[in-house]
Amino acid sequence: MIPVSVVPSAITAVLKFGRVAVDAYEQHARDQNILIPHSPGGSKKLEMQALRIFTGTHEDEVTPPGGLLAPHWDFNKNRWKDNSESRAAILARAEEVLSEQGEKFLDPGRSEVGDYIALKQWGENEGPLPPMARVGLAMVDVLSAFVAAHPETVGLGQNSARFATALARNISSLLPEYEKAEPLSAEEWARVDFTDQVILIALRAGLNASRETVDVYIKEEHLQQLVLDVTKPLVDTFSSDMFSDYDWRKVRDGLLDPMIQAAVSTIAAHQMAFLGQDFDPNQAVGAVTQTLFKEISAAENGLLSMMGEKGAIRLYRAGLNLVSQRPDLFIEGTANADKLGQALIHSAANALRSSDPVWRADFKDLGRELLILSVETIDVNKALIFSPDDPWEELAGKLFSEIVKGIQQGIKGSLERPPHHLLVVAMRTFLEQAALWPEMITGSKVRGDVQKIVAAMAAAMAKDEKFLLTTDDWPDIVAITVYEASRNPGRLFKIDTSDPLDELGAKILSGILAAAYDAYKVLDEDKHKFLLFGETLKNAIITALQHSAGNAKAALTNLAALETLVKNLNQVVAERPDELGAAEWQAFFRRFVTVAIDTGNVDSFSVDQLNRIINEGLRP
Amino acid sequence: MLDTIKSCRYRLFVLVIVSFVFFACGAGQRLAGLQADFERLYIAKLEFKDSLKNREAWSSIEDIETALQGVSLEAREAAASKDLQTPTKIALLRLAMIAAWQGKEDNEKYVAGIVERGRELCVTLAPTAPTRDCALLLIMPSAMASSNIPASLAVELEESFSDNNFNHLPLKYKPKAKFYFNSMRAVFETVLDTFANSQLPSYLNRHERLLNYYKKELTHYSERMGDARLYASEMEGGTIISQNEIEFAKCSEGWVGQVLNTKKGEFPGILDKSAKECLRKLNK
Repeated sequence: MIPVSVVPSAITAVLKFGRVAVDAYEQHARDQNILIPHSPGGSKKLEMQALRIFTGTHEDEVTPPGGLLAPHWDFNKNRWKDNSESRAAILARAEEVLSEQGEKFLDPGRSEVGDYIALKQWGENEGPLPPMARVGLAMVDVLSAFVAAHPETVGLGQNSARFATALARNISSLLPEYEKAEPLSAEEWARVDFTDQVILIALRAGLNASRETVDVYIKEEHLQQLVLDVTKPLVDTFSSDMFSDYDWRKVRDGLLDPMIQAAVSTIAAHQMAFLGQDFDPNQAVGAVTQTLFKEISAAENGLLSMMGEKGAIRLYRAGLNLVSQRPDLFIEGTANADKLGQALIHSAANALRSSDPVWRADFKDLGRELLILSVETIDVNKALIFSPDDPWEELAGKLFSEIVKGIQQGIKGSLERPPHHLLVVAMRTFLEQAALWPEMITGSKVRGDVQKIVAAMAAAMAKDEKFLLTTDDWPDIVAITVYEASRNPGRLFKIDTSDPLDELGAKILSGILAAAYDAYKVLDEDKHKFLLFGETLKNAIITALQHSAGNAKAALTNLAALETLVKNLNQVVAERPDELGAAEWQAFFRRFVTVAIDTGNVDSFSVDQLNRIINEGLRP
Repeated sequence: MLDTIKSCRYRLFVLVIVSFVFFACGAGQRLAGLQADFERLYIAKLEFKDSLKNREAWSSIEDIETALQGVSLEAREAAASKDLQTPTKIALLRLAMIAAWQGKEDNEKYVAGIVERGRELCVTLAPTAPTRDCALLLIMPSAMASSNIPASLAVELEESFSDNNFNHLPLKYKPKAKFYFNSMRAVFETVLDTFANSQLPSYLNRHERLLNYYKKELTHYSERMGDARLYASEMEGGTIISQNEIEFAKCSEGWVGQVLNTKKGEFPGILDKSAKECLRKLNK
């Protein structure tokens, strides 16, 4: 039984729908195809046609001196000359003329009544919305209003149902007014054609995303705003750019679905942010979306060509996460939230765009990852504190540029490039750690040694051709390097513009790696005797960096002693494989690294001395 | 659910809604019904002329034409209703005019009244006027005028001209040739004046099929004008029309050629000036 309380709403809904339906039916009746008769034509005999043509519209063709058919025309008689050749020439040309005019020569039939055609009211992409579309939209509108008022009547309660309702409520802001039967302009028709698919894609994507967020209750007002924030910029951008060559339909078909899903999952994960009172996150979400579309359609190096669809979506997701994770950055007082959102994406895209084109082409996937990492750095590192005057929104772009330049410097001259996944893992750790130190990254400023540390890491990775260090090892090395460089500024890496590979930190990294490779090569047939890889090598590097940071001057002087220590230890453990393992190697290294760095006294850890220590039973 | 359907309140509710929709849809139904009547009669007329098929339903073609006049009258009356949307009124007037044309309505005042009212309504809606219906209100008077020239007259003149070995039309045909030419000249005066002084070019720009229809109509007029000019200027004893008229006829035929070569979106171009130029030649 329908509850009594529902009846007034139902009547209102039906009357509203009925009014539109009645109007639409009237429109259907007057706009349907109708039969239109043609007027009867003239005579069809070819001779008549020829005389008419050459005494009228084509008279110049038979008029001397220029007329090509003048030799065949008798001007006194106003017809072709009395010979078969002239008649044939004139009639042949008459047939051509009739054919050019789209006429079929029918001899000798006549059609008094004539034929007819079916003619529709409007030309292609002209006229008002079709009656069925108006009825459909009215139905959606009325139903959504009714269901919103009485969700109990259809048992709604899931995010998916709320999303469908939110979309329905926004349709009117995407499409021209459906209640009126006034004709649409060509631009409006193009918008209708484009938006039609936008709505379908948005519905599909929203329902899918809502199913995945079933555990979270998303308020309908948030979903409504979200739908508007994602779909309207696309439709508006298309409308204002429809005469350009850019194919917005491809963007719509490829990106809208994942963008909606990204937005729904972001809103589900960060409900509190969207409930905040200090700023309107939707303003920023709309701005991020709009700017993404602008960057995608940039005349040169559009975002899609640089990052691909997946990359663009990940950048978008990173931008949305930033909006929801760090609402403090968008609080009014620095600038408007929408301008900040625009600048964030724009500066990031510009950084990628202005990077070395050769590098961009060769490192496309790496560039994409690094750019996203740079945006995420602001997002995940709550330790980053910005003063109100800091243009923080440009930080991602600056970080990206510094990293790219550092990697380029580091691998310059190397025969092998480090694997991209290793670089990504290392740079993620680097950015996470660096962001923890306000001295290194503060506001929009990036300290000079950031580029140098990246260069040193990239150079070391390029040297590690046999992958003695893995994706598990590099993050730890990077983390310690950043940690030591941060708390000991100017020691491991000078804060100036000198050659990054000439810095102490870089030399320690490359020195220990070089020593490890020497041992590796020597033990050509007995690789099982080689121990300086993985955790052992990582710990050696970390230990050396930690000691060097505290006594940089001595470390720089005694780098050779450090390398000798590594070589000697490698030699001893290779000669005594049954007695010494990785633990012993590390213990000896820890015992003598201070001596090597502080004094440079190689005699205290010569091969003989090490053997003697072991023979005397003084194992570490 | 079944209980709901069986309840009196529910049934009353459905009845109210259905009644509302039924009565409210009256205007659309009226137009759709009259349009269907017209098409049924028009097809019957074609079939009656072309073959014996379905002839048993009608005793003569005049019966069909009388019925078409009835449709025209009903449509004109329906268009006078105040409750209708303006585009629907225009559609009814367009239907009234076409039905009058096919019903061979000879009351010129009646037809002129329909056309004038339709055009007035189109002007009030411009530029959102319904393209096809408003264009037809501009095109149809010429089509009617062209159709009203008896086809038998054209056949008679052509055969006489052909029998005379395409040299001259015998003098006895002078009145008929003169009538034929004057009729076609009147058609072209209307065509050129309408094109140069109405919204027709903008309608043609927006509707490919309408444009093709118009081009075909003009081709028919042009063929007939060419023939009429030929008979009138190739009479035994010399031309029976003035040089101005010959120039006008040639100019009109050339203008049609220009229209045929003009694509959708390119109207009026210089065609409105050309049309006025042709009209000036006639009045020189």
